[in-house]
Amino acid sequence: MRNYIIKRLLLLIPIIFIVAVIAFFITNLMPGDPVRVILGNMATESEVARLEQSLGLDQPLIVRFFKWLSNIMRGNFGESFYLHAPVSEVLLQRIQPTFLIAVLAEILGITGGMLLGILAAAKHRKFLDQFSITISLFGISVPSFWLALILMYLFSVRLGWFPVSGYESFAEAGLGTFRYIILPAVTLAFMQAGLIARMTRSAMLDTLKQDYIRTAKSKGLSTKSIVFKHALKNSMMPVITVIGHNFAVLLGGTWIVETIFVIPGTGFMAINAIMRRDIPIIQASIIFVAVIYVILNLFVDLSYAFLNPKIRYN
Amino acid sequence: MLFLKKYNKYKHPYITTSIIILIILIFLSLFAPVITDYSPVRNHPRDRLQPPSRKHLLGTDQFGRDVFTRILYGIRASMQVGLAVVILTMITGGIVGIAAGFYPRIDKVVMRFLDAMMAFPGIIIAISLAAIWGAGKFNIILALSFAYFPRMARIVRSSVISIKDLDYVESARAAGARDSRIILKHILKNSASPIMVQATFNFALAILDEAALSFLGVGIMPPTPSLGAMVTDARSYMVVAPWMILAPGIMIILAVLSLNLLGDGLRDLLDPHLKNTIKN
Repeated sequence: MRNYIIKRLLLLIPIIFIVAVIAFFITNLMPGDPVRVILGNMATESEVARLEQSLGLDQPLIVRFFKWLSNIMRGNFGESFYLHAPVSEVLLQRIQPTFLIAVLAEILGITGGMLLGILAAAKHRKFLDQFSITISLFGISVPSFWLALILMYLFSVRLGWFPVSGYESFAEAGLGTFRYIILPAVTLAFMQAGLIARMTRSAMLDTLKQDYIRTAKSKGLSTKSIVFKHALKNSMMPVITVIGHNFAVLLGGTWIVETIFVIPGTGFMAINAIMRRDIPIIQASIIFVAVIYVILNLFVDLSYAFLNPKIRYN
Repeated sequence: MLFLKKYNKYKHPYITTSIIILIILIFLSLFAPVITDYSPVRNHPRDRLQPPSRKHLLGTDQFGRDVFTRILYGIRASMQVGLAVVILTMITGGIVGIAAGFYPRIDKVVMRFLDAMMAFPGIIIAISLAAIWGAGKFNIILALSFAYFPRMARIVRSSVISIKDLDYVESARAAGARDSRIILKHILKNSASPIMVQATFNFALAILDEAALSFLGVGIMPPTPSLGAMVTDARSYMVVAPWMILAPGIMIILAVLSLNLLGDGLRDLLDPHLKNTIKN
């Protein structure tokens, strides 16, 4: 097991390297000279040249790439063109709302999705099954930006339960922070619940066909104990895989809902950076998302060994 | 076609329902200029923000444009983008997947690259690329295809790997068939099912993501009608003109829902074992 973990950690290096390469070239091929965006139309040629030099943009792309690579390997993502602060500092400042939204959405999505999926499988081909299929199909078909606006209209504008937009940090507002993140989290949880419910249902249906379930049934065990004690654990592997794979969808979703609810998280920052051509911030945001995704999926792979003792990774 | 033989419209209600909805949507988008007399882009300031009435079935927007008309043209744009993305991902994903699956020598390199690509959420790649190439229908088609092709390539690859060592491929090779003939005649034909299922899900995803890009202002640019951009407009008038936001959203849901339903139906019809390998 330990050897397997070490091997997997080593495999992360080439993947993260390619991620960095993609992030660098995507952002540096952007049209719209960042220097001209910063200085505006009235800038003279010498001003442009001076700023280009101070940002290091006058050097050839390939030179910049290796400089940049050696910097990020030392944890230095450069300085934001606009905020005039180190990117890593800016990113750390904005991580709290994104983290809270993603975690809350994942908790809601997993609970809701697994409940729906288990219910559907236990009541296969009955009303509850149809009901849960319909709900989960809606979950994966509703555009998140639209759902966010509808929830905002219903619960913030009409009912006044939550603030329409904005954010107060945990240090300022304590538990009051959750008033700002509930709607964004519910928006993202909807899609996750749909994806998880579909996978839970089909994995459970496969498990319930197994011989040992028939044995449990003929022993006279109740449906409840069969479903929760015997079938659930054995259906978890595909469900966990789906959760891991779709974490990328969730992180991508934070870019959209943070923009809609004007929450100063990493996603809102990234969208703004794209609009302003703030290259160091865009690079760091893209790498941030990809690295979280890769590490999470490493944990997913490792969790298989705990769920299924047959897998021992030698 | 394999799936047409297995298909029975009474035994597969999901497929039947979704195909009926899709045909209606395609009909509406193809015949939009015949169905409605209004222009999707011309402003009529006097008629602005009218609630639904007999004259304007779904009301009008802030420039007095008929919402029903704009929805018809909007779904047309969604369908165009979706279809183009599906075709492009099938071609690129197919070529890369076959190359990786058939020739182990390039497999490792290609797979590392695809692994890294899959670490980026599709929508994030698409937003960044649309920002690079600029907004517009053509550019978001390219951006979304770029974002989706890794998953298609992986599906084609695993299907190719599972087929290429089967006896009938071996015997074709023994009979002297060239690689190109084996790929076209045997491998491609037998990996059609997972490709088609994934293509259906990609279609749904492309409609959702096109709407999201247009909503953020990096997709189809106004005044060209797009369902996502209509939601952006509606946002500022949510309280006074709720019809503006409901109609485009419901249209997106209808299209995406029926495509997902079709994907589910095809998957169950073609190969029940695919359930745990293909995700949307």
